[in-house]
Amino acid sequence: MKRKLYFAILLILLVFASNAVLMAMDLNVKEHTLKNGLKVIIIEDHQLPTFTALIQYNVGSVNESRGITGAAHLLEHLLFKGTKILGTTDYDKEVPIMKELDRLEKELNAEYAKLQTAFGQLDQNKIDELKEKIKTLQEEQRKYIIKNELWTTYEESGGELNAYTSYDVTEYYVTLPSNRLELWAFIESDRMSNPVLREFYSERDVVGEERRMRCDNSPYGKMWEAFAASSFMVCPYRNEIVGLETDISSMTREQVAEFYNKYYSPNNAVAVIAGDVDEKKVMEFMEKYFKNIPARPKPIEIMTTETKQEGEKRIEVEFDAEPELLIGFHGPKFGDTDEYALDIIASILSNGRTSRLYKKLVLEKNMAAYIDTSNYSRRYANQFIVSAAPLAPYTIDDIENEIYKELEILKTQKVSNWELQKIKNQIEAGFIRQISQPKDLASTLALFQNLTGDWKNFDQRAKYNKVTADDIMRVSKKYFVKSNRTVTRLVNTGGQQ
Amino acid sequence: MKLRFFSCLLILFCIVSIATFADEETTGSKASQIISDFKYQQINWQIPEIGKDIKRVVLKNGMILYLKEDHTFPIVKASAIIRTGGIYETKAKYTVAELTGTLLRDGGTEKYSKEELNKKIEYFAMSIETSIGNESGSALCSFLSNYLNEGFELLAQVLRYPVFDEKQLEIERANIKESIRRKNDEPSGIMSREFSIAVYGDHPYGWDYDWNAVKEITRDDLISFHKKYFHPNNIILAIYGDFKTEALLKIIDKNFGDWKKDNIAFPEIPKVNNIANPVIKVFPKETNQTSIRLGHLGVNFNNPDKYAISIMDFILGGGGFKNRLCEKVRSDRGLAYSVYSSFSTSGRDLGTFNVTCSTKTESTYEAVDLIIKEIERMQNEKITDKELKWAKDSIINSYVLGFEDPFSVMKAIMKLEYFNRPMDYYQKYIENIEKVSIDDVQIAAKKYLKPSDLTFIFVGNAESIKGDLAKLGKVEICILEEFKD
Repeated sequence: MKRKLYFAILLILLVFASNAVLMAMDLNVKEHTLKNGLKVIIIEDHQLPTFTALIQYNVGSVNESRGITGAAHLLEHLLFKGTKILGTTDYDKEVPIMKELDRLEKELNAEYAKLQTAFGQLDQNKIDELKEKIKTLQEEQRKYIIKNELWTTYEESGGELNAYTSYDVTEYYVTLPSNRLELWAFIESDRMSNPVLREFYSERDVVGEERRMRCDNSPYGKMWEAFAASSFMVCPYRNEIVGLETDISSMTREQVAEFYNKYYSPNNAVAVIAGDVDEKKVMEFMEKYFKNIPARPKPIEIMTTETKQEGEKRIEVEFDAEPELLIGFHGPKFGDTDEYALDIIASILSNGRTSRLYKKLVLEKNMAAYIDTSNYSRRYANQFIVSAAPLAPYTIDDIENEIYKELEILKTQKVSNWELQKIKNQIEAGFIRQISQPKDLASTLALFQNLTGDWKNFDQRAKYNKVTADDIMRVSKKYFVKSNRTVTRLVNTGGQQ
Repeated sequence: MKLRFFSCLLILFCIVSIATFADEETTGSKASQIISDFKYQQINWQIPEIGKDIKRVVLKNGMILYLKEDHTFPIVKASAIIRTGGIYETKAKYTVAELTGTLLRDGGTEKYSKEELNKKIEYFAMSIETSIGNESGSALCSFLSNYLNEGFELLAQVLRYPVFDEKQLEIERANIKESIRRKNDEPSGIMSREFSIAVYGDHPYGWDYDWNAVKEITRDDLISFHKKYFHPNNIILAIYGDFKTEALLKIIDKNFGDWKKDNIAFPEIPKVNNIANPVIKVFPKETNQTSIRLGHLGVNFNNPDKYAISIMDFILGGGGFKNRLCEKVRSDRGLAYSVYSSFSTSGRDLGTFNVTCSTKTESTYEAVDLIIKEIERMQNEKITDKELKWAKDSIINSYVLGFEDPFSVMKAIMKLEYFNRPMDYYQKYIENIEKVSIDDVQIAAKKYLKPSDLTFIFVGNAESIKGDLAKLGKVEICILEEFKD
C-alpha cells in the first residue's frame, strides 16, 4: 500500500513538474520561407561561438527506380566536387572534355554489356583503347580542376562537414565558427544551383568500394540487404541506399544529372541554421544568396505501394561470421496513429535494462549477445525490426522462439501501468534532452519539415501520452502475425549455427 | 672585380624573382576570389578556466569537484574520473578492471539489488553508466534537475557500495566469451587488434582477451580491485547544469562526505618498449576488399614536437579531404573509399602512427605502394606554404568545434588535471600550432616517420595478394583461430 502511494505521488509530481518545466523553457526557433519555396528554420543558441547549418533535400534512395539504384547517394558524393566557379580555374574548358568523356564511357559500357548476352565476347583491344583515351582526357581535365576545393575552403575556416543519404532524404551539414555564416550561404547556394558533376567516373569507383565495405564484407550489411530485398517486393525500400553493384558501375553522368534536375530545387529543400547566429543576419544572407535560385516543379509523389505480404518469408545468408537474426514486420507509414504504440512497444521490449527482451534473453537466460527492437519509421512504410545474436551454445532457433513468446504476451496481457509510465517519463525526458542540444536538433526539425510539412510535428509527446495499454494489445495483434514477418538468418559458412 | 660582383647580384636578383614568381598562384577559382573579400568579425571566446568559469572545490576527504551552473534546461550532467585502469594489472588479471567497471552499474549495490537499481534509474529517466579502461575509470550521469537527490544517492551507491552480484558476473563473463568468439567477424576488428599486438608486443596496450585468464577471475578479484582504487581522494567529479551550488554541495556532502580517504599503493605502470620489430602479416578472410593498416610506434603527450607532428599528420592523411593520402589514393585513382592516417599525440605513453585503408583485392599492392611513397615524400620534400597555411587555419579555426558543449570543456580540463598535464594546455594550444614552421614539419617527418620499419597488417584474400606483397618483405600468412571453449 505504502509503495503504491509513494509511486502515485511521484507520478503526480513528475507530471506536474514537467508541465511547469515546459512552460519555463523557451525553444528559440524561428521560421521563414523564401519566395522560391525554400524553408528556413533558425535555432538560436549562444553557448559556444559555433553554428551548425544544413540543407536537407526531400529526396532519398526511395525516389530511385530500377537501373539507377544508388543515384541519390552518388549524387551526394558528387555535390562535393564543386560548381561552375568552385573547384575549377576554367569551367568552360572542362565542358567539352566532360562531354567527350561521357561519350567514351558510354562506349565502354556498351562493350561490357556484351557479357550480358549469350556467347558475348569482350573486345579487349577496344577496351584498352577506350581506357587509354579516357585516361588522357581525365588528365587533361585535371589541369583545370582545383582538387577538393569545397572541402579545403570549409576546413580552412575550421569547418567540419559531411553529408548523408537516407531512404527518404539527403542532407548536407557543416559546423563552423559563428563568424562564417556568409561563407556557408555562398557555398551552399552555389552548390544547390550550379553543381558540376566532375570526376564522375572515379567517384563512381569510390562508391563501388564503399559498397564492398558496407554490404559485401560486413555480416550485418549483407543480412540487411537480403532482408530489405525480400521483405519488400515492390517498394523502393527494397534497394540498398548505396545501390546495386551493377547499377553503380554502369551509371552515367546523364542519369545522375537528370536526378539532380528533378529533385534539387529550393522548393524541395529545408535549410536549418542552429547555434550562435542572429536571425536577422541569417535572413539577410539567405535572401542575398538563395533568392534567385528558381523553383522547379514539385516532384510527383511516388504511387508505388507495397502489396500486402501474404505469407511468412524466411531467408538464410551464409557468411564467415557468428550467427545473427533479423526479423521484420510490416507496419504503417510515418505519422500513422499506430506508430506511437509501436514505438512504445519497441521500448518495452528492448530499451534499457528493465526492458522485457533484455531481461529475459540477457539477464535471466543469458542466451543473447545482443537484442534490439525498433520501429523503423520511413515516409512510405515502416518496419518493426527485431535483431539479435545468440550466445553460444544457444542457437538462432532458441532466440527466435523466445521473441515470438514475448510478442504473444503483448497480444494477450495488458502492459502494466508502471511499464507504460516509465516509457512516457523517458519520452518526456528525452524531449528535454533533445532540445537542449540545438545542433543535433537541427536535423530532426528538417526531417519533420520534409516528411510532414511542419517541423513543429517533431514534438510528438501528446501523441505518445495518449497511447493506452489497450492500444498496445490491439496493435500487437494487428502487426505481429506470422504472415506479416520476414525472417533473415545469418549462418556460419557451411550452414553451421 | 666590380663587374663580377654586380653580375652575381644580378643573378641573385633573378633567382629570387623567379622563386617569387614560381610561388605565385596560378589563377585560383572565381569562388575563391569572391570568398577572399568576405569580412569576418573577430570571435572573442575564452576557453573556460578553473577559478573563473568553473568552480573547483576540494572536499575534506580529498574528493575534487568541478562545478558549473547552467539554467537553460532542467538537466544536470555529471562525469567522474577515477584513477585506476587495466594498465595497473598483471596479464592474468587484466580483465578484472573491465569487469569491475561494468559491474559497478550492473551488479547491484548494498542498498539496492540490481533489479531495484535498474528500475529506479529507468523510471526516473536518469542514466548512470560506468566503465574502466586501460588508463582510467569513469562514471557518466544524466539527471533531470528535479531528481538530484535521487541521482546522487544512486551514484554514491554505485561508486561506494557495489556488491558484484555473482550471477551478473557470470553473465558478463559469458558476454566476453561471446565477443571472443565473434572477434574475427569483421575485417576491421581483426586489423586493428592485430596491429596493436604487433607494435606493442607484450605491453598492456597490445593485450587482447585471454579466455583462460578470464574464466579464472572471481568475484573476490573484483571486490579487491574496487577496494583498492575507489576512494574519494582518487576521484574528480565534474557537475554541470541546472543546480544551485549551495544546495548541490549539501547533496554531495550528504552522499560522499563521510567517505573516508585512503592511501593507495599504485603499481608501477609498464613502459612501452620502443624497439621496432616490423612484421608483414596477412590474415585470410573471404572478402573482395583488403583491410590494410600499416605503421609503427610514435610519441606521447609530453613530446615537445607534438605540434609539428600534428600538422605533418594533418597534411599527410589526417586532415579532411585535401590530405595527400586521400588525394592520391581516393580522389585520383578511386582505389579506396576510406584512407587516412593517424599520429596519436595524446597518450600517457607512446601512441602509434598508422595509415588505414580499404581497397578491392586487386589494388592492394598498388594502394600500399602509393601510401609508402607518400610517407617517404613527407620526409624528402618540404611541405608548401599553402599546405602549411591550410593545415594551420583548419586546426586553429576548428579548435572551438572540438568542444561539443560547455560540459565537454569541463571534461577535457578534468582530464588535464587527471594526467598531470599543464592546466593551460588549451589556452596555449593555438599559439603552439602557430609557431610551427615548414622546417619543423620536415624535421618531425624525418625523425618520427619510419618507412623502413613499417609493420603491415592485411585482412583479405591471402592467396590473391601474397604474391605482390612479397615485394615488401617476408610475408607471414597467419591463421585466424576459431574459438574453442
